[in-house]
Amino acid sequence: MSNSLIIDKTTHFLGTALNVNLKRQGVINTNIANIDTSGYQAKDVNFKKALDLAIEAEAPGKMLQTHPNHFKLTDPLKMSGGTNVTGAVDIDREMARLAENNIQYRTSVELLLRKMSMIRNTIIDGGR
Amino acid sequence: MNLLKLMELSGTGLAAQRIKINAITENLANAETTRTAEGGPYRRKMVVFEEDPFKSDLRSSIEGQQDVPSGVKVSQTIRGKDDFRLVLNPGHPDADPNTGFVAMPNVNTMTEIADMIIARRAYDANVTAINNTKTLIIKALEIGK
Repeated sequence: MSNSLIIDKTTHFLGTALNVNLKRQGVINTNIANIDTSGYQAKDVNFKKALDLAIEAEAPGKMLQTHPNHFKLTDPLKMSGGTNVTGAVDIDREMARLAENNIQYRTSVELLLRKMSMIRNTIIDGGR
Repeated sequence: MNLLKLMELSGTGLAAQRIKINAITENLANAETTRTAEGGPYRRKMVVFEEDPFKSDLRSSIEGQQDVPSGVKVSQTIRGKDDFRLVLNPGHPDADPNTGFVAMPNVNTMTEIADMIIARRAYDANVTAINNTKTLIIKALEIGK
């Protein structure tokens, strides 16, 4: 985790939240694509649990890269954990989850944007 | 890349439902067909869907994780095994010379229409999923603006 003032904990946290939302989007899309597949069991991501696991995986003290400044490449769609089976595909439920996930994702992006605008304000007003 | 992959995933859903709708259309068109290349009346076509995990890249095939998202594919097209509809029509050239009954295809128009509505709904659901993923991509592009 970087100690920089600009790319700080909040930014990291929001990035991880976006990854978890992306993973959930993948699971929901899979459910919708397989709506007519016989024997298919719908899955869902427990957002809180998956986020906890993802943050834990990024926690300091874990050897994930050879140098702390190297970028760690995680594929959000292949993050494991937090997924549970919810039974047969229910289209209404999937649509509701889709909307919920969309709003969560947008919220995280919006927070990131506001964080950036805070930094921008500091830079501009500080120079006055 | 990943969000685009999710759109590709929903695209497999669209393709599969389209194949199903094509089969249903074919059934409806041949609802009265008594002569086919295989001989006998037309048998209704049905498609069977199968989960199709996205394991095209090397990393996931090595790791073999359970959580990979999967699309859908048509694993096979089968012919309905139910009995033909028997219609009394002695004047028909394909009628049984003794009884006068004509074997008509095992296509039930009502079932086909109902199946078509279901397929259409599923198609619409995939379109909604694609649009949803699209808004996520557009929103993500705002980061760093």
